[in-house]
Amino acid sequence: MYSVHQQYLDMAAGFHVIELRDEKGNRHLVQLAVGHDACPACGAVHPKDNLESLDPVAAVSQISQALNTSQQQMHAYAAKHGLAVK
Amino acid sequence: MALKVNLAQINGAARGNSDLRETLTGIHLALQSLYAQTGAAPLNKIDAAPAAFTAPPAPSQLAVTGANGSFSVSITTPQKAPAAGAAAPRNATNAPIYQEISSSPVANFTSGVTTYPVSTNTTFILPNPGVTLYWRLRSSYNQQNWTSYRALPGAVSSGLLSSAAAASNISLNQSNYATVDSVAAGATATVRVYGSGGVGTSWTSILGNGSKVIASGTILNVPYASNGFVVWDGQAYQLKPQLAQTFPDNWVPVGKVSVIANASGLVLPVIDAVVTGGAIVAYQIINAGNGLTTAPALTITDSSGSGATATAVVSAGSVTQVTPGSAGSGYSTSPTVTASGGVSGGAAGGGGATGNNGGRLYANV
Repeated sequence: MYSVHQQYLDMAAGFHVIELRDEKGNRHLVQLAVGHDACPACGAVHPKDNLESLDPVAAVSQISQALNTSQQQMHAYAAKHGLAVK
Repeated sequence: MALKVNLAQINGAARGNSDLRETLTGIHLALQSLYAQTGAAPLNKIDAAPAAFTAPPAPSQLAVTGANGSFSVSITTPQKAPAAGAAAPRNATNAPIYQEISSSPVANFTSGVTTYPVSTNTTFILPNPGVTLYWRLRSSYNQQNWTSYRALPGAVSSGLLSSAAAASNISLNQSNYATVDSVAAGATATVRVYGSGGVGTSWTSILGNGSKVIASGTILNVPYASNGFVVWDGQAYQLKPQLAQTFPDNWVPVGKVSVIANASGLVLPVIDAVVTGGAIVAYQIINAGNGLTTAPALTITDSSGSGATATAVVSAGSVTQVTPGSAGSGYSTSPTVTASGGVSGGAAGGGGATGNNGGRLYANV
């Protein structure tokens, strides 16, 4: 099951980075774009104008659910056929 | 010439040392007896004309630094003038000194020793990226009589070859096995990076003879109608509108993605016409739409009227204004305004997004 491992705001890239990990150490990054490159010369990142409407918790929940559903289907397949999961 | 020694010479050589005289005399008599019994000739002197011995020079100083995948070797030879108080002899004649450099991955030089060609040069640039080596030096005037090895106390790393230091158009032979695509997610798109196992699976980047497994990722809140280059910066993905010709060495180019609206992301506007006297004099925006990247075309149809035209104005993905053109004539009270198009790079309802993998990286192009 994937869960939040760490999260931080990358000011240089303009992303809210949320790292999900499962019990085997597999990683999946959820990156919420909260800024964009406004200056092509210096790469300065400016905030997007829809930050108020962004819901990172909902995004993580949705993606985690999709990942876990996929993983559960794979595990079910492995269990059905007696396969070891690495 | 034959070795001829008599007792008088032994006495002279011993110079009053009785023990030495008796020892040499004993050897002499034993040899005489051996000669008498065997009839063999006395020994001949081999070093009848010995070559002059050329002492090795004073030690040279070795300095090695590493950067950008190369070792920079600098040798400082002894100066012509003697140093004050220095016991070691100096290179008084300023004769050329042959230098032999060697390196090894181990401090005691017991294995993996590489000996570089002997030269009188004092500076060398030795490309050898990504290794850490110990270094030593010995010197000679004639390449026969050498100084003892003088090793640097610590190992030196050459560092990695940066793209800035690489020759132009050098092929780094990079292969990526990432899929980069995008899907609609309401008002914005979601860019996905994943491996061959499908969404959520990691992927592998191969560079030269090395490879690394990189986590999958989902980038949210990406505007429609945007082109982006996805790179892995070692910690996370970066989505750049364009990539500079050179970028940090730890970045891994992942792929390019062109985000266009698809059927689920594009909402065409709903517009009603206001009819007065059979002519369309104004338009009312019932639904401004969403995900529009260009102005949709407006087609006005009616059971009786004809000739009216209008133009939509789009801002931030929605229609903000409808500019009437010709008013037309003969319209009923409820003509139909149909919007079509509204996206660039793909028709409404067309495929969502495309992504591709570079597969080959050229530095300093």
